[in-house]
Amino acid sequence: MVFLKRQLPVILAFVAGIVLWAQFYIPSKASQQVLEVFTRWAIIMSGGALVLGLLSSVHYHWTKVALRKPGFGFSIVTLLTFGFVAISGWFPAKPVSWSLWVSLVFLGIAALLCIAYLVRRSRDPSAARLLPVAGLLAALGLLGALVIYPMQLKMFTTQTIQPGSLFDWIFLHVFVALDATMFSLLAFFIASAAFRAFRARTPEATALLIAGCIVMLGRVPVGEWLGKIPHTQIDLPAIASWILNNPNAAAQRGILLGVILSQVAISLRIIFGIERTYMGGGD
Amino acid sequence: MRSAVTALLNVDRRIIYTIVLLCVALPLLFPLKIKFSPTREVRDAYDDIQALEPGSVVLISCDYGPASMPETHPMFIALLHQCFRLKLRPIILTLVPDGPGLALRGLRSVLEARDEQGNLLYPDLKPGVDYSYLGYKPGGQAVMLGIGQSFTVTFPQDYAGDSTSQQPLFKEVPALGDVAYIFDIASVGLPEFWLPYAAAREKKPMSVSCTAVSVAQYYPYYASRQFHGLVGGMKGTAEYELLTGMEQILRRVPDATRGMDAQSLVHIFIVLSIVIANVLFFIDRRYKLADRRTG
Repeated sequence: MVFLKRQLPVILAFVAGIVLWAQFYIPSKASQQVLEVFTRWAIIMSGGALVLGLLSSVHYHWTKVALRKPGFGFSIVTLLTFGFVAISGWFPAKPVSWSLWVSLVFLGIAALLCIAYLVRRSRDPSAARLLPVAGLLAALGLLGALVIYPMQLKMFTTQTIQPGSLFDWIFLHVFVALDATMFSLLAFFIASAAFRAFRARTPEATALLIAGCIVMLGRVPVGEWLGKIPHTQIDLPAIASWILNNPNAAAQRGILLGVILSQVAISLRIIFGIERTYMGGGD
Repeated sequence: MRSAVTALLNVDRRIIYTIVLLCVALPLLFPLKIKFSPTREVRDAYDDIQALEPGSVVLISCDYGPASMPETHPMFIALLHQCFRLKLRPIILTLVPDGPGLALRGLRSVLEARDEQGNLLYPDLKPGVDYSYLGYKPGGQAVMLGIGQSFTVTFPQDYAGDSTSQQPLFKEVPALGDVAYIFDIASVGLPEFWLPYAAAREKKPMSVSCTAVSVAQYYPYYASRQFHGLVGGMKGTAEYELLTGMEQILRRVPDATRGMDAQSLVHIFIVLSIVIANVLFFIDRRYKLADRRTG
């Protein structure tokens, strides 16, 4: 077991690292084929990692609900959403059939009954009566969604998500809206934080503050407009561009070189088995 | 005076939020139409695409999700219009899981674009011949290396499920080394991987469109001409829309250009906030020093 857990990963990392490093310097057909094989493996493993991540996420939330840890209600919502979106992906065409909508209503009511049971079960023992009803509705919903609806539509003949399909609707009207809203909130927090925290306490902070203000104004049309005011002659976009292309680029280049040299060092440590933390610390 | 300074320094954040809301909403309702001109970074990207021969293949990677959609998605639309008008052939893919829906929607909106008479702008375009949409594949750098070997092996099917090996586009352009240009539209750090694993490896020119937050980190690559062009944030996209003539194509103010007024006002407000807060901070500090001296 120690060989499988500790020694084999080190051997694999060493062989893969050395082979791919050598491949880069060998311009032959065999070398290209080696790269092709490794690349294909990497893509397959990335797909596997994606599934592993999903299973891990489901396991985490399932355990949280089962143990009724604080905030388990959010996990219920996560699991329901996960299941609903995953199922909706199986139906890429526009829902034109009544059976899907009726099935979804049944599944939705069943989900609500399950949540009601989980919330009330500690206080009200009779809440268990909700479960058979929820089970019946869920069974009918699944029968309609997974059997009757696909039969009606001759589903699974197309792979592309069609406009107007349930998945497309969820993506556009729920996911896009929520994700964009979350990111948009940043504007409000940044404005508030700028007012409260951005202070010229030291010379360095003052330089950062002045540069930040110039770049902020120079990177929007109003910066150009300010330069056109008679007698001002301040070309803010040019100053902003100079800041970004010179002091900023120089600092970024230094950071990048540091990061890349560190990556080389870490890669060598992994290849030669010195760095083993990627294997995890437990048994 | 002192109480006023203290009150202003501790102003309720909801007041700040309300002003930001007004700065965003009012220009969208009543546009100011502040003029702007393209910067060198954006013009370089645009000129590179303009200089490509008709029929050349451009790889467009749509590595962005809904969170950065206002900054990046209009860039994808403008770039597609530019490609189709120049008879270039884009191969579109995405390396982020929330990208396929947006890329497909953008592609469809361009393919369905119509002129004033209601005719399709690009009626003769055929998938697999004039363009290809490959969709999403997990793996990041592995996918970049994979398409360096072969498009059809890495993406055996396109997004519609059609076999790529049967498509004329991929018979002519079997691998990344055969494309003329790489354009990464990204909200994440993928341009830094596209450069070594694709552009530098295959010796292909590359430009990047990214969010305003991440543009600063790409300037070293632009300064060294590893990125030929750099389209940063919504302002960069608006400049690209201006160069592409998107207002004439769409017959309305394009999306990123429309956001410029709101962005200008919000930036002015933030700069004024910083200046006012610092003036108040120094006045307040002077009061505190005076208190200390008087005991």
